[in-house]
Amino acid sequence: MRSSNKYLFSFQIGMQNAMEYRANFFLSILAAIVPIFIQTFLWISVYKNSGNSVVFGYSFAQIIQYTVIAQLVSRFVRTDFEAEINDDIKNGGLNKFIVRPIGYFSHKLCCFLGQKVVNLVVMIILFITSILVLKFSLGVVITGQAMAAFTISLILSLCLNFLIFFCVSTLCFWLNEIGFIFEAVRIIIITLSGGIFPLSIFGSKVVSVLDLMPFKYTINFPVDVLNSQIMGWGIARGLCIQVGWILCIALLANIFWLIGSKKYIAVGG
Amino acid sequence: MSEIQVRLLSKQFSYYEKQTGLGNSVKNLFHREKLYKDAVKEVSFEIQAGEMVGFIGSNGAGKTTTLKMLSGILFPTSGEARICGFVPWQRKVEFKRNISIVMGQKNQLWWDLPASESFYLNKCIYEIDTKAYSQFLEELAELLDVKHLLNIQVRRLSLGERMKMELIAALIHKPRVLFLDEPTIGLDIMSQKKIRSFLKYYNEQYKSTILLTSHYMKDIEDLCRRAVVISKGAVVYDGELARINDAFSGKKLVRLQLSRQVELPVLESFGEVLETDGYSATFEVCRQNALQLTKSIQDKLPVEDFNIVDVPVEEGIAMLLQKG
Repeated sequence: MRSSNKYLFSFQIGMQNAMEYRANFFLSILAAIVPIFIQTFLWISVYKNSGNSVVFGYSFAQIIQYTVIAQLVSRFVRTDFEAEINDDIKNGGLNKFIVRPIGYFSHKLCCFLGQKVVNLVVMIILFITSILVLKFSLGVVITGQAMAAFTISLILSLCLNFLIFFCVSTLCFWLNEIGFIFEAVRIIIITLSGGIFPLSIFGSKVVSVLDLMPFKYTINFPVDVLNSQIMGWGIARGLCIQVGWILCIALLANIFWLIGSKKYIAVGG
Repeated sequence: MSEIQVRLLSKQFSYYEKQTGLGNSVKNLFHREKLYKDAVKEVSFEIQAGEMVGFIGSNGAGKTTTLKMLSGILFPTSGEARICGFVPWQRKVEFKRNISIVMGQKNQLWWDLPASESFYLNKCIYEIDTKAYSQFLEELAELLDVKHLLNIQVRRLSLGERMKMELIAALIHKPRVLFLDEPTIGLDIMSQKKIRSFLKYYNEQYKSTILLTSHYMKDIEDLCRRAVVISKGAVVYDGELARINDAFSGKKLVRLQLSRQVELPVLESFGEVLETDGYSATFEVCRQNALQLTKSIQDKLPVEDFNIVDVPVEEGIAMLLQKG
């Protein structure tokens, strides 16, 4: 009997949950379309008024392409488990993981990936539709090489985003009521990740600071790879940095968890 | 070697007080005075393999906190414990394979899935052989009479059915040590009885060591020969349940039925009155004085019926807890 079986089961639970709450996912996709429209109109007026065909290093077609792809990527890598972890820590749900030979972190990761596999089917359809619309309306061309590199970077982004939000969730060990903090942190992180607009808008100084943080490697980097803003060695370098951040934050998440779990008081019976 | 060894185990919690009112809420934002509570104070006991021991105490006495430390959920403030040779809060995989905990007030099954899925997850977690798993699940489900409920979503089961499923989930890997925290809480008499007889059978059949807390004395009296009584975080009695009243062995209870109402002061002139409603009364008396007292009571009070009994275990424990 392989021990990995238990995590395969967690993976299946994630898939079952995603199917159970499919309406939720479809609605969140719908919700992603609204900001795309708002931003498209915003950019149209920005480009009209600036008189330049290139703003912040992006042409109009590129910026629209960025907006659409960034929205889809940020929906795909989005985590929804913070409230669950909060509940497990606050109300003693963690007990069942502590007393059994199963890791909470690994279980959550497998659940998360299982959930994403179901979402993936919808995301692939949406990606293809968006790329076709972009191609015929704005003449955007995406190369096969960019597509392949994007796929790899997206998988790494998924893991990195999971780890970042897992770290944030460990705050529940120290703070009593944290639901609103999650939302605030999420908005900040999405902005710093380039989920709303390209990071170059912030100016080179801010970008050089953001370069030292892991956030841009969750959304900005894969989107730039797909849009051929980054190519060749830049891609290889970016992928290596993604892996580096994944290792660092995984370590950090484990340290936070270890320290936090000593503070765990297992209330609620 | 003992299966469970606990030595001077203590747990202190920190908390803060908040007075009522908006003003105090604002004050609380800036300053909170940290207070400490000793939930468990230097608790020590040992339990041999195969023993089933009752862990008794009033609400907030520290029973659940102790069980949480012994199952590795909580880190103690000080003290030592060894369960099957392992330190619980080191949370080693081998330790986890040998224990299980059931909490009457906490659901450990997957709420949205049928119980059979949770059992299967446990099969994977504990790496149980498929054949052995199927056989044992069948045996447990039959004993608890829940075979027909295995494929129903847990959220749709009644409290009693759910508790039976919790027990199966906790036992499916045949743990050497089982902690039961009020497994019969809120259940009807039939379900309580079923769970009691199941636990008795399981303990005899599989020689597992069981530490059981319950507020229903019937659970403890039926299942445990030995009891550890805890009050305000400290052990006040550890020994045979039947001898719990030895501390009160010199005492007897005299119960009277009276044909007309008698005022409390009149009753009190005969001895210590434990309870009365005017038409009945219970006296606590010294063993040697019991007969003499009943004689004088019979002469002076309108007695319809009376009997002299030993102090029941339940009342013995109540007296212990009051003293502790």
